[in-house]
Amino acid sequence: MRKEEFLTALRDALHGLPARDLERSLEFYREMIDDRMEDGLSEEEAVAAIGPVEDVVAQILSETPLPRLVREKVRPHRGLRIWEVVLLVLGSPVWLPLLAAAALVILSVYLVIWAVIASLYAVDLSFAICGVAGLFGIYLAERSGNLAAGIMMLGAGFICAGIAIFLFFGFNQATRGILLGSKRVVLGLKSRFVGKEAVQ
Amino acid sequence: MKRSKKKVLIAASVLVALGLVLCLGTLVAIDFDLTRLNTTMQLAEGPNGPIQFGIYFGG
Repeated sequence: MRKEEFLTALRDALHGLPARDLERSLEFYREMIDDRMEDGLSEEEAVAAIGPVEDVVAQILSETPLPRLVREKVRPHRGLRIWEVVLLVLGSPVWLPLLAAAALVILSVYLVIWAVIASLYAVDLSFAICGVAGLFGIYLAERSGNLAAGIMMLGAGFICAGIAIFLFFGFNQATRGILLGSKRVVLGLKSRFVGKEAVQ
Repeated sequence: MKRSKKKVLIAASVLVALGLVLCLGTLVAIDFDLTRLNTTMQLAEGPNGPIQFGIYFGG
């Protein structure tokens, strides 16, 4: 693919991005291709080295805040007429609460994701604390003279400590998966505001 | 997988295995009679009497 073809494909895929951001991104990739060509690569090689357009679009979208995309989408491209302003004001008791509800739903989903992650690590922490508390078994055996109870508690502590270590690694993976999944959802949402076929 | 991570996971496996041996060994030693684990110990002397810690399995 040649430079201009790449930039045109990028422009089409990012249709809907604020004009200033779009121009900045195009300029950035134009310079990047030029730099590589100055380093001795051919035009096609320089474009290929940047990667597929879809990946570049996903990268740009991930760096663009969602509110900015929404603002660009809903921003009227001409001045509002008087009757439109009047309708907006009269309809505000309906659309304003709906907008607030939508914002709160998004916020609550975001909080739920972090609450799930926090609860996973809370479970892990409780196992770790049980593991440390198991050492108390030695003290229990010494103070009460009940060796069996002390050893049982120590054994349970060892099991809990081992499980805590296993869970820590498992929960790290789970957290990574949850964050990656939520990032994909946000990227999918963002891609609805720009060229639809751009991002998988 | 990193070598250090592998070592930590092996250490965790050893901990769980050791814990299982201790717990099961104790259960066999007490003939699975959990009431023999009942224990009460005094931690400190509080204003309203002794502060106790105990394990109770009935019986």
